[in-house]
Amino acid sequence: MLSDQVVSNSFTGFVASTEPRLRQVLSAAYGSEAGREATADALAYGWEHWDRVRAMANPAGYLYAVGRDRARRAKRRRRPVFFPVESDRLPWVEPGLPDALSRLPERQRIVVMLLHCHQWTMSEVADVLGISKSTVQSYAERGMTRLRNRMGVEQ
Amino acid sequence: MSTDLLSQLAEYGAYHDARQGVASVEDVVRRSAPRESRRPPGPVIALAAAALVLVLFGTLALVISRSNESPVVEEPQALLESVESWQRVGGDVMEPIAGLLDVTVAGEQLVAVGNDAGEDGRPDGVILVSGDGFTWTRVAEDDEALTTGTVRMHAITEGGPGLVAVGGGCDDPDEPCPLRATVWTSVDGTAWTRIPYDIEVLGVASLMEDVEVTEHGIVAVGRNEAVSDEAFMIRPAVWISPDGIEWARTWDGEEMVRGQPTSDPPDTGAFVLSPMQAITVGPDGTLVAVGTVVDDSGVGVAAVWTSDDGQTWERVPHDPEVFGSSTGMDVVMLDVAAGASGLVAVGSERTHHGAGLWWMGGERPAVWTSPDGSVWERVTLDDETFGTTRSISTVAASPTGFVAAGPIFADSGLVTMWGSADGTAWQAVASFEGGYASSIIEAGPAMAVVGGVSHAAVWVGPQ
Repeated sequence: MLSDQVVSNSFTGFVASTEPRLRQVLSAAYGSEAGREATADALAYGWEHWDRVRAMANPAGYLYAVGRDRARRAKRRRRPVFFPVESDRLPWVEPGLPDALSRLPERQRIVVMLLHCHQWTMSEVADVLGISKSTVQSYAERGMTRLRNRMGVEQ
Repeated sequence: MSTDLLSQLAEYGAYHDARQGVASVEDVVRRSAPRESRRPPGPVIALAAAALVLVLFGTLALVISRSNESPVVEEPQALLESVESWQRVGGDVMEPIAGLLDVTVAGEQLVAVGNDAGEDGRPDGVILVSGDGFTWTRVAEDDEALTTGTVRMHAITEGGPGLVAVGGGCDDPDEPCPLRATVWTSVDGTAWTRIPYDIEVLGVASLMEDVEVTEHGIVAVGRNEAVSDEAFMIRPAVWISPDGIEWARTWDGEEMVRGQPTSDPPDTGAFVLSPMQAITVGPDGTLVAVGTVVDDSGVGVAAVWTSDDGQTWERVPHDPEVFGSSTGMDVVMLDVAAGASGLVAVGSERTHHGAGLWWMGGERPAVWTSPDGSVWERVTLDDETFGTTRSISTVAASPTGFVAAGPIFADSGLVTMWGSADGTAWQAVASFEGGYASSIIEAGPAMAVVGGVSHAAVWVGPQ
């Protein structure tokens, strides 16, 4: 049986390596606050069941499913809300960008934000969504087209 | 502001990350329940938090890849926690109620809607609630919004001020009138408000069959009946509301269940086929509605419409091999659900009887699958699994795939539940004598089905 300290250290390392990307994908799906809450809920679940979760082949993917479930139940299908643009900190970003992102269909939004806001690779996005890279490409193109249209940006 | 969009997205992403900050192990542990096997003492938590500070500056490069394990569904905590096999529940409260047509999870309760005969001979609405899934209580029994005139409640969802129910009604307390699309709202289910009738929005004769909360608003689908000099027509219709209270009819389809000569209009009512019977939200956010229309030869064929925003809808091009019958039977789509593998729609086939297309009954079940709502395949069903079932009336996503139930009330018989990982291969999981299934839903760690036998009925079982 592992000591408490070993258990705690292994979970700490897991959180450190997993939390940022878990938060990015859940936030892209459900919004800034709801995504952060879902991430914390999912990690809390991971802590509660760490003996079982740590033995899984892909604990991070499992907690993504947990977070997605928690967020869906909490938020239903209301449109996500993203942090507004603070013009003094982001002078070159259109203030309408967060709202335009929130109006994209969920899959398109996740793909666009993971690829272009957080610089995930096409393969990483395909893995987390369980879809092919060609489908990711399709969502990305459709999402960017919608985003450009909504923001009045030329193709 | 001429920075290109990709640069803006990158800047916003970095800003978003920085503003969110990271969840600390202390935060995580604080919000968690005691661990399954052991809980570390306070000093260990502190040690873990300190360790995190160091580790956070290390690499953050883990790729979160798709897990093979099933998603976790644990809320609401008290709902149907100990269901090990399918069983009928509810007891005596069900007996005075004619039947139940839909059920939803609202907060930590199940809420079901249905109808009873009404003291004045005109049907009343019924609301049943349950905190644990086993014991059910009828609420708002004398509520005027549910008892004045004719009330036919067909579907319910959590949304708007709390709950939004849709169906058909006639709010004239004295004289019966054609059914008109009707919306009821409630904060908690105990008191209801009927949205005032507006002929421009709700139509002269119409019905809302299903309702769904989407990111574009609350969307209801059903039918709108229209009479011209030549024909009586039942067309698909869509309504949208931002809050469940203010509604607009955003779309009337051209297709119809039947264009009947005005000299011989059908006797329409609550329980006749609508062109749009059900709606769901597909995996990519596309709205998908299903139902039945007549093709050029007057035979009923399954129909699917999709929409990006709920405002405008496009019918998926008709493919006779998918949506029709090679033997000239009517093909009826009754319900649709979206799950991890895509969409599954269910319904039935039945012998074509000319003007009887609005009859909802079937002769043998039918199932379709789609990855995205725009491309569909008909599933070949084996007779052994589906036995004598005449129709599949409802389908829902579950953590392990999909669960379906049938038959529809018009085919009352052996009530059966089936399960499938992806909609293509099914297994019967339970059956009960003599009744029908109207709606199935994931409820806590279990599934709940509502419908009727000789009166209202609820069945619950494991996922």
